[in-house]
Amino acid sequence: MTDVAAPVNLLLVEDNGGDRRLIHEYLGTLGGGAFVIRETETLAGAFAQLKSAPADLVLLDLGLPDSWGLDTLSALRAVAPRIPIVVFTGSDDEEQALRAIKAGAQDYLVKGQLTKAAILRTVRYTFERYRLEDALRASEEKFRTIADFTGDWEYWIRPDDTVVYVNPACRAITGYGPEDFIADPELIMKIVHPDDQEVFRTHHRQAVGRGDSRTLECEFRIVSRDGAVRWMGHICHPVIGPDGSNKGRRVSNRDVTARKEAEARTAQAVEEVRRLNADLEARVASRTADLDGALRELESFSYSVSHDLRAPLRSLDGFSQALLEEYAEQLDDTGKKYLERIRAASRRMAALIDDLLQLSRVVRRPLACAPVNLSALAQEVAADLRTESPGRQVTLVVEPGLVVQGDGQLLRIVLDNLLGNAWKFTSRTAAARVEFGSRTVAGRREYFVRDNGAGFDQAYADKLFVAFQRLHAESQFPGTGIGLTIVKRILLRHGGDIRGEGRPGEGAEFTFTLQEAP
Amino acid sequence: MNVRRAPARILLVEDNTDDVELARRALRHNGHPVELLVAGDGVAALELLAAASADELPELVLLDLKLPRLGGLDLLSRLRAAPATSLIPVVVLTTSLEERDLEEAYRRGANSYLRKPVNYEEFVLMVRDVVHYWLSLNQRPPPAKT
Repeated sequence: MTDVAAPVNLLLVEDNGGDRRLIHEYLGTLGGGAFVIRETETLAGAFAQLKSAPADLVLLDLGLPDSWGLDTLSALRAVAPRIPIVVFTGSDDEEQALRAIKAGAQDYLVKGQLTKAAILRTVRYTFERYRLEDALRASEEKFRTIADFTGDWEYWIRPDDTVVYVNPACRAITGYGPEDFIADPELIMKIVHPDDQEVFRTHHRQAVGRGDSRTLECEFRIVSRDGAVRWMGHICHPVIGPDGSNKGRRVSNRDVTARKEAEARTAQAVEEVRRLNADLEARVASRTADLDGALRELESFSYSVSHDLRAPLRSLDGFSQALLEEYAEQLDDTGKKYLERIRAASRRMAALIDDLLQLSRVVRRPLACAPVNLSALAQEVAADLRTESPGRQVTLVVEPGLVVQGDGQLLRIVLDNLLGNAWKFTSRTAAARVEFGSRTVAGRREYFVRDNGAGFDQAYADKLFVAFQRLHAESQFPGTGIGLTIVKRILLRHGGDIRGEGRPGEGAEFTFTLQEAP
Repeated sequence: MNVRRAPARILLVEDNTDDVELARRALRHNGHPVELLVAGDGVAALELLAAASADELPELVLLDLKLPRLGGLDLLSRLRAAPATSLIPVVVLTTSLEERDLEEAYRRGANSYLRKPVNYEEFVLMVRDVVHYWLSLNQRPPPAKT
């Protein structure tokens, strides 16, 4: 629409020349250019004029040479649906004027009463009114477009449960059209799924019945006209009039069936995962139990095997001793020596069995972890050694305050073996000296047991920790050859290691590490 | 039982015949006569005790823990449960491996233990320190802990 400040484009369709001149005079000269007037005498001429250039307003005489009465109006309206039309009518025919307005004219002027003021007023008002109506139409079109062109089912429901407006989307979602909902206010309740009726009723009572002023949401299923079940994501807002009165609720229902189904599938998947996890854990527990069972069986097997292996050794030793004691006179030195060797052999076997049992235990025992004072432990071990061989003079140096994290029982076995070896291999050394201490090398703590005894050939160092591999003759220094194997196993279990260095005749040093605390 | 002399009648419950022989030898070491009754397992021991009259009952029981059929610990419980035998001192025989069973043996009412092979000196010490002491307490067995 043209701006009111710009000149109004008038089209005058009048076959009477005198009337035309009158109009020109009143509208043309008045208002100084406010109106631009084009003229024509026929309807055909009017069509042509409008075709070539639009008009803001048409002044139309109904009695034209090529058209008569309201037909003229209808014809023009058909061609120009959006242009305001003011019709001229005879002074004695206001009926016609009113019919003309009903037929689409905006206003009328009575020919015999044409005054300057009347014409101006009519033209201006018509023009303004039509402009406003047009604006309103555009506005309505805008809002209706927004309301109608949405996928969500939306409606406005009054506090008395009547439905003011339902958008066309209801048809796609519910199978019922807006007319069905407006005709039957209970239809909304009827299509709610039986299992969700209670939920919806409660919500409705609160939102509409009590006029709650909050935005409220809920979810429920509907059964559409074709029987399909759909999930609705429902949200409604209060509608408040300009005077503050409660005008009902504006509702939006979104079809969330896909989301609900996805949620259900996710929940199912989660449940499945949970079930699988539980199943897995059950299996792990079962396997662990099996393993524990197997370990316990192995433990008891080793236990009974050792026990049963020892019994004959007891007999060997016992009866040999009995022979020595009761038949001493009947035996010569050789005989006695034979018996001694039998006894020695059975004692060696008993030691072997003990060591083997200890080795297997060391591997299987769960590792306890606590602070262990190695210095104190070393002193204890040394005290035991002194008790066992009271005649020996050994200088023992123990570095105090060496505390580590580990399994006290197993670490005791380590020191038993290392200090015991140092003790044993210095048995033929004059000024025997055994040291237990520590040092830090490349940021790592190391512990060592050093002696000045028989030592060993470094060339065979790789055999030190192999079971049953000995670097000395049994006759020189007794031993089972398992002790260091046990020690190495224990240290490995602690995340550490051990190495040995020796020089024949000068002594040996065994250095070990434990896992560094993080 | 005379608290100042070694027991004259001892029941040895032991299935290993070599261990029995060595024990017999150890217990007569000083020449003191000892009547050694031997049962090879718990069932035989119970039968022997059942057949004995009050003055035929042994004054001391040496009990090996590892026995066939009725085990040593179960036999111990039976001895303590039966009125006729509940006051007889019981000494369990163990190997170094079985020391962890000692706790259970004491719980069931054992008085002391001896390591195998039976050594006479240790036997005498045990009798003096433990058995005599216990008998001097009105011959009541130690209360069973449950």
